[in-house]
Amino acid sequence: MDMNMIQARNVKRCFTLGSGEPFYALKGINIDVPASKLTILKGRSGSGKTTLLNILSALDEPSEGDIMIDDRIFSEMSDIQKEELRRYEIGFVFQSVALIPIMNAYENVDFGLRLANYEGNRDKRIKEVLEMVGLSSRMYHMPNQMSGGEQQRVAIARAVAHKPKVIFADEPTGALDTASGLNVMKLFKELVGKEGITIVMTTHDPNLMELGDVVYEIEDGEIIA
Amino acid sequence: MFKFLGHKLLNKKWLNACLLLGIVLLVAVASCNPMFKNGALDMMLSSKFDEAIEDNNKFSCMMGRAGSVATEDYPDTTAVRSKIDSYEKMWNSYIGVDIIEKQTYMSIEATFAMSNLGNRKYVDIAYLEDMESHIDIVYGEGMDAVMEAGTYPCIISQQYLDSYNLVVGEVLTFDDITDSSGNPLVCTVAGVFQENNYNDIYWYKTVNDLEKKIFVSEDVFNEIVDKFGALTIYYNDYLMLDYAQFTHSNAMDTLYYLNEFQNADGHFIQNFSDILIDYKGDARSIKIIIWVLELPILVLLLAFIYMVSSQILEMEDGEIAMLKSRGTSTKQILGIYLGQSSILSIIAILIGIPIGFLLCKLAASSSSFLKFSVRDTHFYGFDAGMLVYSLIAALISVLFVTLPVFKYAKNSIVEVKSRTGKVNAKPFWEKFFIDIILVGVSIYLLYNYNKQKSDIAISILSGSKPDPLIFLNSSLFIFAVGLLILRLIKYMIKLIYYIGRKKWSPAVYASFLQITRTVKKQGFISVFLVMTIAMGMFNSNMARTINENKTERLKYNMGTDLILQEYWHMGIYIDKEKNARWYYNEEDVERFAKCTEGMSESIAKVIYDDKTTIKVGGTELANNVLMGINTKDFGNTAELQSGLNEVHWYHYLNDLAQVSNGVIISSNLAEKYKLSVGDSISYARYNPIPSKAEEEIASPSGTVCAIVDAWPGFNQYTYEKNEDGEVEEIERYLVVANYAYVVGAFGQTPYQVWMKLQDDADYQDVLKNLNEQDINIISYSSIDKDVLKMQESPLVLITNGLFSLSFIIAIILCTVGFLIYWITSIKQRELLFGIYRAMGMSMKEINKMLINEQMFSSVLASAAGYGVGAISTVLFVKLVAIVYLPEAHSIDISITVNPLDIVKLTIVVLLMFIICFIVIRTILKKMNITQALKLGED
Repeated sequence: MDMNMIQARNVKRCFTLGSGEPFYALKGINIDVPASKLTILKGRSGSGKTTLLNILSALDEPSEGDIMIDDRIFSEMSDIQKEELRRYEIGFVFQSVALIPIMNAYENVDFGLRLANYEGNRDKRIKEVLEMVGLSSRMYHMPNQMSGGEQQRVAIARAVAHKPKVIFADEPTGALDTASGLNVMKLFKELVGKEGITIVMTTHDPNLMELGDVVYEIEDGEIIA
Repeated sequence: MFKFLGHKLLNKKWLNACLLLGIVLLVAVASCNPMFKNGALDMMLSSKFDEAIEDNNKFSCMMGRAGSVATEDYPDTTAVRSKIDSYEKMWNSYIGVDIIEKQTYMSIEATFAMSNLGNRKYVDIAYLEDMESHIDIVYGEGMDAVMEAGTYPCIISQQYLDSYNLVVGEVLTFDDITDSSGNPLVCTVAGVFQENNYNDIYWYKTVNDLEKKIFVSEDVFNEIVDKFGALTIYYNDYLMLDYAQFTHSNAMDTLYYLNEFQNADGHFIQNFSDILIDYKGDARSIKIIIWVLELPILVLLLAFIYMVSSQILEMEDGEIAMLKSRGTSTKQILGIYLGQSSILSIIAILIGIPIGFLLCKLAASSSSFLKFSVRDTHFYGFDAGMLVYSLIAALISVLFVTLPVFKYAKNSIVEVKSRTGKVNAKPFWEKFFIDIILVGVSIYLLYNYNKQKSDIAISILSGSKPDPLIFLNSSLFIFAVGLLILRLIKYMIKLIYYIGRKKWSPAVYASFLQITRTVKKQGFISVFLVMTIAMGMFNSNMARTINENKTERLKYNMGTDLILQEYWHMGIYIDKEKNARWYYNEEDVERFAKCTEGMSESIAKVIYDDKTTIKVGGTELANNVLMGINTKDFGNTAELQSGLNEVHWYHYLNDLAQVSNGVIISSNLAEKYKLSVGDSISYARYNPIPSKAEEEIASPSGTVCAIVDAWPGFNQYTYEKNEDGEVEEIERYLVVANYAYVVGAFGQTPYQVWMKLQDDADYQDVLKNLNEQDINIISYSSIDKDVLKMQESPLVLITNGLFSLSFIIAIILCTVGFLIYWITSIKQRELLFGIYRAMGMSMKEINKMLINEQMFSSVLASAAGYGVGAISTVLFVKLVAIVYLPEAHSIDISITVNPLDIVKLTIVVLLMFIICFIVIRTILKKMNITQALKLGED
């Protein structure tokens, strides 16, 4: 079965520069993100990959063009519907400060579950996902007591816990050393394989490209490969 | 450098504006201190002189000399004058205050044979300088009258004339004073004189005081001295000094010089060293009380400055770390902040001193708590001490702003990174139970003070300075309970969180964690809220209690609105047994009613005698109070606060009205002698002729028809200094009898006129009307005057002024502190809100989260503030009030709460919450999720 979770058509994003001139961060992007696959958006910093990810995940709105996610069209959705989309069907892994600093690992995941209105046994699920990311022993540590890699893994556990359809990860390995980065990638592969989750991530690291099922390379707001 | 600092300050202009506000207020309150203190002292000194004049009917700032010279060296008045001048010049060189009036007389001693009585009388022949312009000749001629040769004209006072039965034209022959040919000195009474203005301060010694003197002109005086070979001229020189020129700065020097003069010269006289000594004692109390009342607000201001500065530093710690990692030394970083805070402090001094000046003027015009009236505040002026105080305040604030920099300047960027998002550990006070210990200490102190209440009262009455701890303990208590409540709130939140932990919505869940995990930061603002609200409430209740109780006691002591004493002429005659007898003609009280129509509501005549002796069985109690009243008039005119007696006092009046020889007695008298209704006592009054004041007029008996705990105008306690200078409480007893019966028993004696005024009537108009009708009022007391005097008394004024100021400043700090705390807290958490929003939280949920957070931190803390305010009021107000109301009184000190103050406070607090919420919402609405998230990226 080869169906697309996300389709972006002619997506443009225009910012107004300080000088008043318009600047196109995205210049008409067309991509398809297949379901249950790891899709990588690759590009140097400033290439527009984060902007694209934000638009794909309904955090930002395109100036032109449209996105369809799981058969729903963004331009036809209200803000509240988009909030609900993010809340129930999407998981996020942010670039650096991924976790809520006032909550420990367990609570961070718990918070995600509460937000998504998780119906099952929360405690069981939290422990399950933390074990999955290999952190069951650090469950009650606060974010500042963990290394960057550990924090990122908790963030992944939180993103995945409520069983979303898509996980968006912005440079999830950006702040990590190579080994931790590879661990995170391995985790992503497992999630895609075992749980059938669709993952969209950005990276500037060419070494990670081969791990993606689909790779788009972005330069100056355009897909070049 | 300046450009850099200026830029840095403007970068966080709001926070720095708040910091500046804190420093400005600190400088203002500090610089207010010397101005307020010195103003209060000067005012107090001046009012002491005024009061002494009122009490003694004599100018209260006199110095001079009573001496004598030999005519050998000083043959005439000019020579004596020059000697007096040399003294005056010497004194003046030390005291240095203008002399506004002089009364100087010179005299020689003489005796003469009384033509009608036959025995010899001693008399002084005197020359009073500048006499003519201060007298009226009542009849006869002046002392310049032309007499036949060999006799000199003299003038005498009416009293002298009366007491020796002299007549104008009478010839006085002084046969012990003879000229060289053996002729005696002969004077003729040319006329009788009196003061042309009784209130003229020239009359330090009034004509009545100058007894046994006949007055002659200067020429006559010199001629007599010369011709009759007087050996000694006595002189009395009284200098009336302009006491307005005595201030806090020269009062103590003056006291020193007065003592020196007195030690060096046994003839030196003065009448105001007691006033200065009294002032010295009171000044100590004033200084302490100003400090003690200002201290809490200074501490609050410093806490505020520290809080704002910490907020700024927290936001800048990344910057500091960056500077560090680029090689800037800790010293240089300190330098930057030192420069920054110095700029703020300099601005603060420039703005703060004028504000301090205005605050002081405002405080000085307070007539009650948060009530200001237009009043003469000329005593309060700019003082050089203000510069010193404001400089010190500015330095301290520089210290408070810069000190926390140490903490931050030590950290490198790596440490800062690892601390980002760090959850604060338990604050030290919580760990070591400092809150509970402090509450314990303050309760212990309170318990001890409460045990010593009566000793404290006596020591205050003796003029000792109050123990500052009595005041500060209440602030300590508020602070400690504030901390304790913070601890309890935390436990409570934890409990609530725990109870519903499975079910909490994400918003509530996040807000609970936010509160419990950032307790140290939140704690500061919470304690701040508790303290400002509690202190505001306590101060308002304290001030209200003092004002209200003082006023109530004054009203009780007076018994009605206005009490007038008219001049009654006492006639004296010699009866057949050659005893001096007295009589008064009753004055018609209706005149009072007539000429105060439209102003007085009712009038009663009251015979009031506080020298009455009460006799029960064989024992006598001297110096007690007798009131002779017409029950109906008295009931209409006098007022008594309700609740002081078992039944309404009109019942007692009715009882008295039914028994003509009945008496109402005070309950302390009944207790002392186990008296009950139906028993009889007797009471004696004494002869009004001063020389026969020991003689009883009569000692009628009365049947006790009622026993009262309280009575209008009767206070059962008075205080007097005993021989050792210690203040002693003296209990007094009361007997109230029917007016007619008192007159029947003792004869007609002067009565007081008690007057109840209509609501809008002014007692001064009443006095004016009486004066116009030629009713000669020799003394009066007015409740309005007493209350005004109370409000202007330094202690009350200082307390009202400073409590009002503290309240206003506390409210400003509370509002501003709360706003900046929340706004910066939200600003700092923008990334967090970005994450919440990205994860799909709606604005509604974020609002809910913030409301929940505010509920459990600020709202709860504010509510606790009210609680602490109420508890501290109940515990401390009565104790602190002793300093202001040390006297035992029929009216116990009762706590007065003005609900309006609390409403005002609540409106401010509510406004604060609403404004804060609107501001936060606006910030959050403007927040862009992707923008916020970018903040997290480096």
